[in-house]
Amino acid sequence: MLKPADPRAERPCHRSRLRAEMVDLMPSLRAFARSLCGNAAVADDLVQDTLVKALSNIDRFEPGSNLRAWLFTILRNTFYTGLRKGKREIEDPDGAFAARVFVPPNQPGVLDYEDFKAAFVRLSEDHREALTLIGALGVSYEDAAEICGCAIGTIKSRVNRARAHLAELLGLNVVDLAELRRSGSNP
Amino acid sequence: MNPPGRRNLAWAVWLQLCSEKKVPKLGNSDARPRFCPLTGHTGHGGVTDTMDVWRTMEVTIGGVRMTAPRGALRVRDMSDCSSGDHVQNNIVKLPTQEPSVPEENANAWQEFSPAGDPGDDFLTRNLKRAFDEVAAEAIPEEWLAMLQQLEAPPPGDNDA
Repeated sequence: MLKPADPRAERPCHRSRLRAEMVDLMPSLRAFARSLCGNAAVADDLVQDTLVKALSNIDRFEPGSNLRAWLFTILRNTFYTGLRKGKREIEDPDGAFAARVFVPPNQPGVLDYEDFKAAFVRLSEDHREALTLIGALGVSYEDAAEICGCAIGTIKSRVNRARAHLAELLGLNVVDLAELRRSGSNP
Repeated sequence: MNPPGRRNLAWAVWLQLCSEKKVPKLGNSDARPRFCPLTGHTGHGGVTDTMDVWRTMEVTIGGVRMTAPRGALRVRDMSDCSSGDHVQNNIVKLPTQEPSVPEENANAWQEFSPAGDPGDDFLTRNLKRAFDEVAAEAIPEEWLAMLQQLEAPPPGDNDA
């Protein structure tokens, strides 16, 4: 009769792989946190809190399941829990909050990255997280829905409304976006 | 030719093949396989199926000469065929299978493509740029040290 495999024998290899995957996900987690917080220092604190929670609950993570969705969900829940408790005070070392006092570009058709960032931080948290997950991080609609705890249709709708709002803030319309897509350059 | 006519003709060919014992018994079922040479439907479920048994077969139906390729023959259920369907090399091509061409201007942001596609617009390009900026930053050492705990053996494993 075969002796059952010792689960401890597989643990080091599994944990080493898990660590490597988590290191790979750090930039995405950081970008997601920054899109939620709008502030680099607060976002890094949020990522660190997420790591602490993830490591303390690592036994709950099922090997083979979606690590990215798991980590992003922890980060998102931590962020919204912090918001509810009012623990995260608004700090503005990067001037990100000041950017919310947004002045639309005074020269129509002349947009740059700074205009984009200033408009982006004016979006609601829902819209920022949807745009970041789908547009910047390339997360699938299914995973984004799992992370945000809503239906896939809701995520699609949020992305569309977020883009519409962002375009409106930047003074762009549908034709402008189509033109920009074809030309592949900033206006 | 309308579908009922085509189906009748197919059945006639099937009967002819049966008389020549070219139709093999399929699977373990005792039921007679409902094989249609026009579309290849075997009656054993599934919209599409692959049949190796017809590799060298040639059939001419309705003026269309159908020669099965050397490789496996893709066949399709004819139940969803219509009079506008196109038959070639034993494969029924349904008009509905043709890919739809998206209108470029009408839905510029109706379906937002995930990151990585060429031809991104202004918004997507800047979203990715924002991510690239964050990704270019070095990961703090304390985070890496924290993750290093994962590789340390849990306290209960010392006796292993």
